[in-house]
Amino acid sequence: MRPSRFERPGAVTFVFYVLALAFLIASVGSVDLSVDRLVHGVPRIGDLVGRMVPPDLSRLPSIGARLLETFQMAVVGTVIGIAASLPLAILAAKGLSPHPLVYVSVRGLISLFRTVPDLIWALIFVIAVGLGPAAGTLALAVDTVGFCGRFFAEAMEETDKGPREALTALGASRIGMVCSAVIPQALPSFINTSLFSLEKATRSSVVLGLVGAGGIGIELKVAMDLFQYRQAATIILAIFILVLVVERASTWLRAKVL
Amino acid sequence: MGASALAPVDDAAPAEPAAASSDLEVVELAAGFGGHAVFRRVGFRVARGESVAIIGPNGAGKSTLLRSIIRLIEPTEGAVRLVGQEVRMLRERELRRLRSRIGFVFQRHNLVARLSALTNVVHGAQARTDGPRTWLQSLAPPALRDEAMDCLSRVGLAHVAGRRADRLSGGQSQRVAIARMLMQRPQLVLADEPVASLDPSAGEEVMSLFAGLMRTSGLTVVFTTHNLHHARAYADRIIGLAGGSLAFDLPAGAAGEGQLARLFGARDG
Repeated sequence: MRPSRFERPGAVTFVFYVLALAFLIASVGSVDLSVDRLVHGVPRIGDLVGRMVPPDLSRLPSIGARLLETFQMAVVGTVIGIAASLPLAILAAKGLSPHPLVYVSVRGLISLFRTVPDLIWALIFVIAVGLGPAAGTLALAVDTVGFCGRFFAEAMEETDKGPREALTALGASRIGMVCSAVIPQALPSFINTSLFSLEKATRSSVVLGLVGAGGIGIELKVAMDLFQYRQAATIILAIFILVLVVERASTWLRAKVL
Repeated sequence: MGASALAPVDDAAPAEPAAASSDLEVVELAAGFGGHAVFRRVGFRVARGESVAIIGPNGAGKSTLLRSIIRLIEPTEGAVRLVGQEVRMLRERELRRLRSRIGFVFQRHNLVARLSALTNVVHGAQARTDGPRTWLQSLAPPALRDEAMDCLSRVGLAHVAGRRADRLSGGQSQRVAIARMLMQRPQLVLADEPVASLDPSAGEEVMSLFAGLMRTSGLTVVFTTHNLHHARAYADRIIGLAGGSLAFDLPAGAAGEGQLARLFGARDG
């Protein structure tokens, strides 16, 4: 008998589909997103863009300094995060972790770092170390550990087991085996993840200023609050250029190294 | 040079008992996975300087047996006395020290693909030189690098020392793996079908080189193989393994064609 073109879902699957659809419809109602609002909102964006042109370049040197600070936060935060990720990832990799309890604990810690948004880490570090770029840098470092810790561990788990077995057979220590057989194999993946992490940190560092954790975000907030839209346009353009340059450089480096 | 009296031996008389002191003694050994025994009650003895081939069909337990000897797979029963040490009694650090004296050549070369041939050979000294000095050839002291180059020369590959392992041919890779094993300065060598992944021509070349090096160094060797010609040409003794049990243990010259052929036929039987 020829099979039917579409499989009929089971009763449980059908109920799940209905509930998911009902939740989506209810959610659209809750967020108050109406066609009327969109129709009236889009021209307002046009009006705002009109008031942003031409960008005000009078504060370019100070905006440039803030932008550099933002990028420096991203670089230092990423480097600290990568350095902290490596040992944690070894402890969180199946087959390399010394004990199941250590594996579960470190995996949990990395998940915590990843699931709590960087803005919340920034708020916590502002309270801990005070306002300024130090708080933002630490927030970015923790966020990087959450990102790199997981992907470094997975990259190490996926490496060829043969060289590990060979090193174990010749009497290498666990750390010797990891450094000689596992890390060299996982290195391309580490570099890839680290570059993505730097891109991510650069984008994040822009908004951390909104909670006083350093960077250019505070400049943007002040400009918008004071209706200095032409100055805000300069800041947005500067952010755009920074993120674009980092992404391009990262793509180039990735192609060069891997 | 004899089979353990504990092992089931059929078809032929066991080889003569060892006159010299034995480097390896396997007694009633068993190992398996998830409650399923891969081999059981296997026993044999290997004298110092002797070369022993273990032959048998796929699934006979040859690789598991070899791995169990140095506890890459934990045996479930029995005992192994290796270069004078009771292997199953050793703690992790002692086991590492013992493994450093036992060369192991795998079916696949198991080199670290992204690293150079020289670095892979330097890895052979990991157990006797702790720390980062053996992680990369660039960190190794001159004496260690010279020794690694010498090991590569012995397998005829000094000219590819700087080449990445993943740019080597299959035969070259296996020769680098042999050089890594030589770097260990082993007392006994275990080889698990060392040429099974190579084409016949490269396989002959590597096997001849391997056996020559072992003979010249006077090393004790236990190797598994499917190749009856290799077993007869390079071993002093042949041990047959079938269905997870010892089928025979004979001097290489005494192993008849029919007997060897029946062993491989046993897979379907």
